[in-house]
Amino acid sequence: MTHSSHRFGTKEGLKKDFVVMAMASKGVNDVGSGPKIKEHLTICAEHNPVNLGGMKVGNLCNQTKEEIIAGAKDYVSTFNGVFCDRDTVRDVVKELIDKKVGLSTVISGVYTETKSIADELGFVPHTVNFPLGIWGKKELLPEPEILAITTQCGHGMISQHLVRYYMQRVADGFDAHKAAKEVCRYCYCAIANLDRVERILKEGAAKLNHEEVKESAV
Amino acid sequence: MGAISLQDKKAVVNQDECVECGMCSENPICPVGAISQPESFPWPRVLRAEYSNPRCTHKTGVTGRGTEEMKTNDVTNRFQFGRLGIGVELGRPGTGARFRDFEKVAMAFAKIPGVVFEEKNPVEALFIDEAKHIREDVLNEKVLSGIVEITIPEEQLECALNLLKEVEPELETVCSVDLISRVQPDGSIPALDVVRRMGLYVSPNCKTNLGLGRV
Repeated sequence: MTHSSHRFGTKEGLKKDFVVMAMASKGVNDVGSGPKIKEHLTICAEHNPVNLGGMKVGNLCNQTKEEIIAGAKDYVSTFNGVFCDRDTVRDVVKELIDKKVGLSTVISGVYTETKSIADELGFVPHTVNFPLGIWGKKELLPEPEILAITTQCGHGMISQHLVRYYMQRVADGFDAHKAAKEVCRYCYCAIANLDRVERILKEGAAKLNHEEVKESAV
Repeated sequence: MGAISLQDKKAVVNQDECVECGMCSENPICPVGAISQPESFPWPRVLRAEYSNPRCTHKTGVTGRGTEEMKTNDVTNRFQFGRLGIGVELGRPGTGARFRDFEKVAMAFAKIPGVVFEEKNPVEALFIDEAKHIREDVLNEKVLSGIVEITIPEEQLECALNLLKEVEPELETVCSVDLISRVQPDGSIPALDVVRRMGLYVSPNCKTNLGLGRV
């Protein structure tokens, strides 16, 4: 449901984290949606996403862009491109509109940024889903740096234990980019922001090594 | 879930805590390939895999948490002007939840005047009566997460959130709460003002359906 909108972090950290998601609806427009899904993924791919794909076609940790696009068929599932800046998202959305792809499209990101894109392109957004935070037994939750990574995958496929393991490995000298790919590999929907995960792993590793962190990516 | 631990240098799976998400068997971490998952599960354990492995397709025909929710609202009109959607995803982020917690939230929401529970959400199939009891043999089953999904008349928002606040201390896990609203033609979202007046947190990031879908 909400899997891309509960990403934990500060407003400033989340301003570098967008998902552009497309989905066909079962019994409404899923039949014949394959070519539209392919077009959505192709447009996303042309704008240098940090992740791309979906549950049925893989992600950039496991597949190439070409393999991901080639796998698109009439699926009722989300197909995603992940980006780190607002202007690129605006360009992607403009192209989706200009080419009349016609799939339901959802941006997951800071609302003021998304709204500014809609204003610039001249339309009013249709529906919003605003998270009202985490309720219940919050003492069960891990530390903020861990949570900022585990919540990259809304289906819970990024384990806090795996994040802790790789954060320590990065602190011990393991390449942070490779660590990010290992952590995000099982986010099947391809919504994990590899760039942000890498930066947070480095930040967590720096803290483990008692080093100063100048700018938080959380 | 932390269901796997080392005891006498041997990996042991706590079957009660395991939600059958399949992650351990997919990750090639065991040097001798000793971790595996059964090909099928008896009732009611089968619910664990259905709700926890996002690649399982629910009876709704949708993968993941099994509901399209607002992602396709521009073509489904599930959430309309005058009504609001509330989603409570129990077990998220990352703690898992037993169905007895789903029952607590659903029974609280059942008291809201004009409430409608979403039929195309897999959790709906678990309820056995209008009061939203869940069948006894399922209550202790643990899953990674699932969503209690409702729509309410917009004037009942404060009532709904107050009922959730009342049941919150009884929960044995965490939940992520969502508010779904159509955006007014002038771009405003009045429901957010209600939430802020109640002193509740509203996230800076959200999901925005752009309205590009076509039938």
